Amino acid sequence: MNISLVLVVIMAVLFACGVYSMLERSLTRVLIGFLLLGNATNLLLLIVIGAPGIAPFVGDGDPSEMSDPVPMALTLTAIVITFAVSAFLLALIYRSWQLGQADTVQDDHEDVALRERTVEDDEVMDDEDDTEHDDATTDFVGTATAPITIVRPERSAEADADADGDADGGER
Amino acid sequence: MRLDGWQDPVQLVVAPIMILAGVLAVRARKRYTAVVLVSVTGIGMVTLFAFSGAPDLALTQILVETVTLVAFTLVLRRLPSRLGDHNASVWPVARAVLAIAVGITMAIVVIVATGSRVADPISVEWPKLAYEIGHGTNIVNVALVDLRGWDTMGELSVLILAATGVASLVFVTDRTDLLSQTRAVPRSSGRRTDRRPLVETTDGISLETEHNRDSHRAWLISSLRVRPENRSIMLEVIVRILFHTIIVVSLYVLLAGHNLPGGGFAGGLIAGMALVMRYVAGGRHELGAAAPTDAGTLLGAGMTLAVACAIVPLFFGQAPLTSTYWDAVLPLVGHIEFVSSTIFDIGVYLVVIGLVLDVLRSLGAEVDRQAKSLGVGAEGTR
Amino acid sequence: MSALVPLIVTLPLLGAGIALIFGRRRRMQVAISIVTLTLVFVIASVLLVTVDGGSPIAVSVGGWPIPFGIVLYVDRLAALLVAVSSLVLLAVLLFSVGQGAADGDHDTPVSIFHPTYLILATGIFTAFIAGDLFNLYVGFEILLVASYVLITLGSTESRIRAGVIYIVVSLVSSILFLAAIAAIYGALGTVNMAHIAERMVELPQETQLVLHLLLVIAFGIKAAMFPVSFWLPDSYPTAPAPVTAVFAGLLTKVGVYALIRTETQLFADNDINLVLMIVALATMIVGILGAVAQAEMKRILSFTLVSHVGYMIFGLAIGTPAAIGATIYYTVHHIIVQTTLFLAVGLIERRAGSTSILRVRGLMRAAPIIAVLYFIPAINLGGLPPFSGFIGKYALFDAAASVGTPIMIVLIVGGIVTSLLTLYALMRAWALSFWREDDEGAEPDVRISYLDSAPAAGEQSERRVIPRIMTTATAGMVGATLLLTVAAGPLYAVCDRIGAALLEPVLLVHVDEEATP
Repeated sequence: MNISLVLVVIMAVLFACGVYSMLERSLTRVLIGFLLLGNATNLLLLIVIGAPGIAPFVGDGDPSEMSDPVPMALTLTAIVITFAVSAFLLALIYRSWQLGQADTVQDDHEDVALRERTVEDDEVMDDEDDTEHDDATTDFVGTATAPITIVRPERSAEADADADGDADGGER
Repeated sequence: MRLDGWQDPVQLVVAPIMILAGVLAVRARKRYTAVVLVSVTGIGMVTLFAFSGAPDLALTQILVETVTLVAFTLVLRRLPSRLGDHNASVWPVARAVLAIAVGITMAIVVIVATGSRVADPISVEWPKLAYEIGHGTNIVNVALVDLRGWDTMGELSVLILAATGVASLVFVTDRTDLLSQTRAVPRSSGRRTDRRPLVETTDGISLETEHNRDSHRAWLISSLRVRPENRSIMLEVIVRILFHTIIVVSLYVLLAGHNLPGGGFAGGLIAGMALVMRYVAGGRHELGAAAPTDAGTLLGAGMTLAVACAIVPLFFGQAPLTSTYWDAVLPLVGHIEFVSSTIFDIGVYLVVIGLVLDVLRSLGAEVDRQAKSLGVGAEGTR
Repeated sequence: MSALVPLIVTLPLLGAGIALIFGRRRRMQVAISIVTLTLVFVIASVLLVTVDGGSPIAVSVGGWPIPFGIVLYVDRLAALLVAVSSLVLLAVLLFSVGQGAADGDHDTPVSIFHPTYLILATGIFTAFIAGDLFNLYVGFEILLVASYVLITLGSTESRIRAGVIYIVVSLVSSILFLAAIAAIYGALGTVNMAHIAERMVELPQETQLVLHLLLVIAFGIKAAMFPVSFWLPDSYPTAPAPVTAVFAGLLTKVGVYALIRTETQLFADNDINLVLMIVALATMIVGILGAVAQAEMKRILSFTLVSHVGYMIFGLAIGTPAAIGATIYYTVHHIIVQTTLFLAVGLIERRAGSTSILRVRGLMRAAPIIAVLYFIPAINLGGLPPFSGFIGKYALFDAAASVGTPIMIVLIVGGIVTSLLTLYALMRAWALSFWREDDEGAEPDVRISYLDSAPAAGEQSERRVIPRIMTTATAGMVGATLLLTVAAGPLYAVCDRIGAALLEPVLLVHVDEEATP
């Protein structure tokens, strides 16, 4: 089968970039790395199609001229799975940042002591609490990045919905 | 095996762009820059797919890139724009060496593997099978809903898990204390007890009652909750007009998928984009008005439909997911063909919409609400 | 019979779909989960009896001619593992239902837990009955994404932290697996496993080696094989007790299962046994040394889990039919015993309000039932005769001794040391937590003072009531561990037949007459 050197080079570079980025401690970079690796793997599946042909539609031409449809079907499944996992990772990033923020605001002493110990003990993936070092603004105008975890505990979700008025019920 | 330099001039154009974007994405200092650069590599993939005889892949990838970018934007608006120094770059040299080693290894693996291709791929039989057993001309779509439909069923469960996971992570608004109160929220928050429509009255929009029954139905409801200065009437009107058209297009893509590029996944993402537009234009309440039903119900119904397609043939003594083909000539309409795997594709369509809706509800609306309940954020709801 | 095969996967999925639609009804969700898993257990048992008496069943999904579509393939190994894992899933489900009923679902919100748990089961079953390499990948993805949701359940800080490590490692292994599939397709033009095995022998040895290593690394991460096992003890212990139990019992074993198929069927012609032996030895020794240095029971168990995966790899590396049979017996034993131990520790945590062996004391007097429920699986895992752990290890060592090369002797010695250290780690926890009296002074014992700085040594949570259903579920699992010993004869005979069958050349199975349209 014929494969294209250019595609192999792109794939190798994307694999390298993805691995480098996935080994970072920031979750956002991990996700970036994961997306790059996802693209690299899809490219690998594209390479094993071999020489490109016409689109695989019955009746459009001779089957021997068509691009191999098997890797395409596998790629489609892989794209969807990557999409689903990155949606989950995004929520994880948000949650992780939220917890990191909340901890700088409200904590009892035991928690602080515990956290100090664990932070020293295991050098785990860091959450996204890097505001002290950065200008605490986002790229999106008018949105402050203040801590947003502390929802008054005595208010239930239902009560919240009520307070929001009818239109909130329309979120369904 | 032959190792060509390139197979299509487009590859030469795309290569430097993708390589550059990949390297820069890793080195970017700002989150959003990195995300956009990753999207560039994604768009590069779209181009490569399009020029390698893979229109379905190109269509799906570009839709996925778009929705991913939207989801990223929803999360990144809450996060600091810069990627911090202290949680980046431990042992950069060691990592770079490892990364380059992996890249080179993968290149060698692919060259060695394809270099020793021993037999014809199984796909040589696919076109004939797809047409004779699957009754479709789009081989990739037949592969997804029929030939390899078992994989697609698994993929649906991954989508459902992702939707559930996103809801689980975002709706838990405090350590664990609030969990008991919010646990029902991810699946069924604010179940609307009152299904009365909104109508226009002289005092503004209100619920339909005995007295105002003759008034017009409300059309742009975000005036209820969003401050006037934060609204873009033009955008809202355009989105409102386009919404149903896009839904119709998504249905077309869904149903045409068996013979043309498209299918349940692409269709579902297009419908999801329509919901994204409504949310962007009118905020969370507009999303509520646009969403057909609870995300959990959509996910569950889609899954049940798809699994039913797998189970029902068993009762007729056939293999799971066996498709049945009907055609008929109807008066006025003409010749109609229907393959039962279309029902499977409808299941896919529903699950994808459910996932997009859950992402919007969690990372969009709920994040808005969490921000609002603390009085920060200026998205303009009052 | 072949109509039963797809039900193994579709029933739990259907259950998950219905559970999602009725997100708010707790009783209904519980009922759906229990009924589905029970049905799967019954189906798998029927299938096991059928295939043990006859030939393996292959079902072509959609009725496509093999190998063009996806094949579900149930042989003795697949049927046995589906039966065992559905039993374990059911017991853990009952345990978590009891916990949820007592705690008001703080730890496991039903609307998230039940659909996710059912889909996790789907993923495990999909992987076991996959006759198609890409479908195996899909099965892995299902169970992994389900495990991401379960490990971050409740989204507390510690769980997110632990979850991130687990998720990143799993993502890497998934991508490696997918890349390996792409490369295999590039070389062979097929993804059907029997077809791959058939064509693989035509490849040059070097190409086989490259593909082989790629797959073994991908599966090795999932099976927690040294040196890619570091993630496990950091991530498992923080999840809710039932989640940890099911992860420990089943998830790594799916990786082991994939390794068994890889070694015996896909790459029958290409052997990396020497590498596997070294890896097995390192996995056993490094893992168990980690366990000895721990003071918290869930962490001790997590380290023994890693270390005992070494035995399974050891058996694979020997590669004789007797060794493969022993590996499979050991895998079944380990699934059941490890899950039981985690459930027992879950009970200890509720009763004593801690799982640190430095803090828990006096349980013998306070909770004699828990003492029994811990002690039996503990000495079983430690390898004391006449329990199943002893039988499995003895069979492994016997198979190794009959090969008789020097490295086999080294591995046998390593295995015995690991076994003794496992017994030591578990019995130290037993002595300190159960037999040390409450009033024995606040001074910590000097002999274990080196454990003071171990992670989570000061771990403490609140004491909670133990509903009877949790004890019953655990007791049921203990009963299952005893059954492994009592019924060791017939079970071992099945495993032996599996071992012999796996090493025969795989033929491309042709679909049953009834399955073709």
